[in-house]
Amino acid sequence: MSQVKDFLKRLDMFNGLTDQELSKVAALCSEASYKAGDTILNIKDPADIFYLIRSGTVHIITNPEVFEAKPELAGMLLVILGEGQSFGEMGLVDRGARSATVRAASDTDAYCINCDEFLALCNEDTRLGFLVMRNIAADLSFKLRYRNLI
Amino acid sequence: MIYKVSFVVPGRRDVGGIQNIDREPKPGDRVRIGNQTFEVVEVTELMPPRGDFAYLNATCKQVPER
Repeated sequence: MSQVKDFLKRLDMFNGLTDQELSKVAALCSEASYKAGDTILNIKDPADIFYLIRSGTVHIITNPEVFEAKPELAGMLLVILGEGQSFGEMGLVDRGARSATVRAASDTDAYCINCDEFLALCNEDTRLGFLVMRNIAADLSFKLRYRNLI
Repeated sequence: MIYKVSFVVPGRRDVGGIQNIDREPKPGDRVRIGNQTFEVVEVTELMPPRGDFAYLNATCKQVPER
């Protein structure tokens, strides 16, 4: 558990959380591993889990079929995420379907958190919920600013 | 401090990306992205720091492989 908490402390998504609050989040984490090339989630799938990258790199792709046929169409590659980044968290905010496909670009280890369980925790502990949602908003802002640079 | 850094290589949308690192990147640093080596050319603040986190962008150029 402490290993998970140490990892969570390194994620801006959990910036400002107390040790006790981090323990509550850590209790919801389960481990997952992916080989390079594995599809982790598909566009239009239901958004039931969000992911925290422990190691490795993933590609967020808007149109996987076109991207695979013509890799030079890098515009299909929305963003590349590495250690300490989260993905799938938009589903936490809007509960909409997946907006992109995510593929492991290298062997990748992640923690997975069930969206329903996490939202229940946010409702139960509203300070935790407020901080995480504010941090997610900042993270999405960071990604938009990054997108504007590439 | 933990540095959330977006690495951008102008003209290359297929490399770079975002990661959290422990050391502030500086111009001249060599970084390994995928299986290629890049040199940091410029570092700018993308957003003001919040708590223990700094939000930076590092513009990089590719270094020829030997």
